[in-house]
Amino acid sequence: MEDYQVRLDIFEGPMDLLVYLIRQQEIDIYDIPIALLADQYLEYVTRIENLDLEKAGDFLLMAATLLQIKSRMLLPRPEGEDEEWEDPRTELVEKIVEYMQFKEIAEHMRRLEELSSIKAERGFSEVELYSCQEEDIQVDATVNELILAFGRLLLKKPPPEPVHHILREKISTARRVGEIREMLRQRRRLIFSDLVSEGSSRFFIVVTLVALLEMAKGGEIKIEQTDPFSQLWIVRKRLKSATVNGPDKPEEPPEDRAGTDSAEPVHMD
Amino acid sequence: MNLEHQMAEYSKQTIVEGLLFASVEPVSAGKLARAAEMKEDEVVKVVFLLNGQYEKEGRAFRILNISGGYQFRALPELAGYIRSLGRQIAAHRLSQAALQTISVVAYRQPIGRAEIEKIRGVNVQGVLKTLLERKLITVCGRAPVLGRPLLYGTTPEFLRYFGLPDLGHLPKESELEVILGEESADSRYLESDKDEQNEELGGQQVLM
Repeated sequence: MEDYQVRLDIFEGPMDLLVYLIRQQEIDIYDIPIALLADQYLEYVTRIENLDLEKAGDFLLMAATLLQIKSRMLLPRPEGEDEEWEDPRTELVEKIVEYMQFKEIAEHMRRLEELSSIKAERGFSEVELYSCQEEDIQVDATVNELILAFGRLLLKKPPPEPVHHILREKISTARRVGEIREMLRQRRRLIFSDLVSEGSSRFFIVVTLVALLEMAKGGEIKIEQTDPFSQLWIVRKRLKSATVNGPDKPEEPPEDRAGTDSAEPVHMD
Repeated sequence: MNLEHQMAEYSKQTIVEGLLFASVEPVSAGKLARAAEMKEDEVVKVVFLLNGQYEKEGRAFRILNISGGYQFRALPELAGYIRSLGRQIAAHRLSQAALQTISVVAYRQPIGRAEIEKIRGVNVQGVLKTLLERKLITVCGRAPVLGRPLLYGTTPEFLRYFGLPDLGHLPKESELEVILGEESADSRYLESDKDEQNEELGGQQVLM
């Protein structure tokens, strides 16, 4: 009966999975059979494969919460103090209700998005213009152009760092690859400047460059331009599924630590 | 109506039409009024008359109230043709994660990352970055709590992207269930000014 082929990545997160289970079982959310729900939830979560650590963490945190509520439900209620007894499920239920509400809102926003999109504005965007000229592409840009473009960006004076700024941007190449891939999923082509701007920190620029190089090496993207020295375009290649999982797994430890020393923009004189 | 009056009215319409034609972005009534040397309520009236005229004459576009301004938009029925021209209509769709996140921001703004994550139950750092890059949200301050976390809010581009005149046109949370129940009810939120204008445009859904 159960579909064992369920892929967890179709769920936006633990809340999404919970809501799915609740709807599937037609559970009354104001009287959740928490033991049953926790068991089913765990059954799904144990099937997690190929889920990156961060996502898996989100799912496991919820699993722990469910188990905690389950165990609190097992404790005997204090006699005769019914009014003071606080249902351990309350907080979870509130969260679920709120989440369901936003799921509905998102659904509504999706419709607004579509309705707005089909009422075309005047004018072509840069991306659309590019797509129109696809036949005209003369030059397949090389890695050299890419590195030159990044070089130009790095030579620019970094933006002044506010004195109180203490948070350091932490981003690994694997993560940046994921972000770029997500952007390419939405639009097949990106303009170079979509990825890095003059305001980006040096660390961020370098990580982006490495990510792009890695993706180019894996044959996942192509770098193009219409004329020499013109705008660079990052184009997603149509993939055979074999390469999809390639650079996704971080093969080396995240370079956060290695990068920290040199990450702070150095003001040159 | 005497002829002179008609002429004056006609030229006002022409001016406003010309100003809107020249601009790709939505232009506010105030800005139009200053450029056309008219009063703001005159602009509103002229836009209404223009839309009536377009409808009567079966024109391909209407003037919609988007993000606090007026903007020419093609009739939704033409989306298929316009797409053949190379426009990426409905192609720039946001991911489900992005859509959920921006919904939370829109309804709870100003809101910090931690609160968004509490509601969605997942890390939203990457999604926030995408939304910032697409200029659908912006940093609008810092919360007066420990660590002074950044607070996010929606932008005019958000309204433009979703075709809304202003944030007041987001459906009320209490109305949602009803709206999602009725297939076509949501289109009324797309209309510019209640029922005055663009009834045609808002009322017809062409999903392709």
